[in-house]
Amino acid sequence: MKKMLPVEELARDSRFVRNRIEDAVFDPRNAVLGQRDLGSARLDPHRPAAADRARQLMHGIFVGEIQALEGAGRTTFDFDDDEVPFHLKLDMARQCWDESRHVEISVKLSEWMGTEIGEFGEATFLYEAACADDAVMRLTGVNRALEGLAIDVFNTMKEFGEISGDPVLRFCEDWMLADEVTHVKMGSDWLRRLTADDPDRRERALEFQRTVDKLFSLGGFRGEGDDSPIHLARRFRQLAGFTTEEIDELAEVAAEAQTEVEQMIEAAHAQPNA
Amino acid sequence: MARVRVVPETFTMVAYDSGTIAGLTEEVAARIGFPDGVEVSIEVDEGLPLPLTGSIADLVDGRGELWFSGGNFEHPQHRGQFDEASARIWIGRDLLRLADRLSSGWEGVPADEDLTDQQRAVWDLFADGRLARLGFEVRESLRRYHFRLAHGFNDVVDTVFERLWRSDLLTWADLEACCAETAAADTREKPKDRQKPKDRQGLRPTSLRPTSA
Repeated sequence: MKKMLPVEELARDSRFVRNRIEDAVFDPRNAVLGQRDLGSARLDPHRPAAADRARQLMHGIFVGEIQALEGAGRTTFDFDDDEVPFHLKLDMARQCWDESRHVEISVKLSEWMGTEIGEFGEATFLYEAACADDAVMRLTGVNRALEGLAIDVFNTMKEFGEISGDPVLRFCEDWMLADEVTHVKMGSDWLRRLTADDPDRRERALEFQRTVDKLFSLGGFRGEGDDSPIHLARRFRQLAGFTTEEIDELAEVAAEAQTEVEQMIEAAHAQPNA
Repeated sequence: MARVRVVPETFTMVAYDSGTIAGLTEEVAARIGFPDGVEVSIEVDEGLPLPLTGSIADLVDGRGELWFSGGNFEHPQHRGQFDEASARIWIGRDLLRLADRLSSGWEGVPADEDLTDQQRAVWDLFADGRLARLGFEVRESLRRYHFRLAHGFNDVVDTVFERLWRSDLLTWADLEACCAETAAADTREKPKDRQKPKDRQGLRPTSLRPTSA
């Protein structure tokens, strides 16, 4: 079987359509949206378009779970026992078990919300972060950054279920959230163990994590303010092995990402004929 | 056949075509039996993407005025591309609501921007059930989720859903009775900061509201 499977070779049936992240970033509507007073972007059942926002986010979770399964599976297979400890691969196998349950739960939740499989386009950034040559990079980029993002997303969806009185959404998100905390903690623990004698490698891996974190805080998508659709879940991140300093740093990264986008929008509008 | 005008004539941020939208509206109007001779203007806010959906359908001086978020017509898999299937449902739903406004038993219905989320949800559902029986591809599970989100996740709400989904002849008073029935069973905490109408209904800035001219 082939090692280091490129993202182009992921198996999908005809229901799925892949989106490019650059199409989202360079969408001309972004600049116009920044000028509009649309109220808070926070996911809240009393906000406009709440159902469609929640459905699209749920579908994003679903495809994210597929890719998390694929990524953890690749890490189990891509590295020989002399490259990574066997117990790390066992942890990744355990994560595959969790992720496959999450995929099934997400399919059921999507049906519950009236969404069809493949209804929305699929972005493949999660799997791409799982293609790093160094297993430690995968632990920071996927387990700590993207599974960390999953903690924030699931907590936000759980709250959405609580406020809207949706018992199915609330319970399912809570169950998946518990697993995500474990996945992030695996990443934190293995990062410390594998880089205990190699501070340079650890710093490179953490820098990769910061890059991924910043990418997915883009435009205030994730943050601590009321305007962010996804809220930083401090308590659950602490349970997952993040220090208070690391969470503060992540909040700063999110704030920086929002400021940068606001500046880009201002610059775009300052140009003639913009 | 209804006379249709679409604004903007040319879209610059999304791959939509005003002629296609006008043609689709005329086709849908004929299919649902929208009254002949009623002029319909459609404004599409192309700056709003999916999932920021929303719409407004009001009568102004006897003319139908529809406003849609651009997200309503956007293909969910292809950013910025027109999705005829979604557009057909949104246009059909709001043309039926316009037709309701022209019917007896619907006098005194508030303007769309003054409707509560619950009033809007029952009316949308009443329209969707009729669309489904006319052969439009309305996804019942999706409508059920929208309805539950507005009214609550309980058996009373599901019973009202079934009734509305199968109804063809209702009045505004009937829809208000449905709202009262679900409200009595809704144990959810009420939001502390109720949304202003423009925020609730359609993400629509005041400056873009149509004039009556």
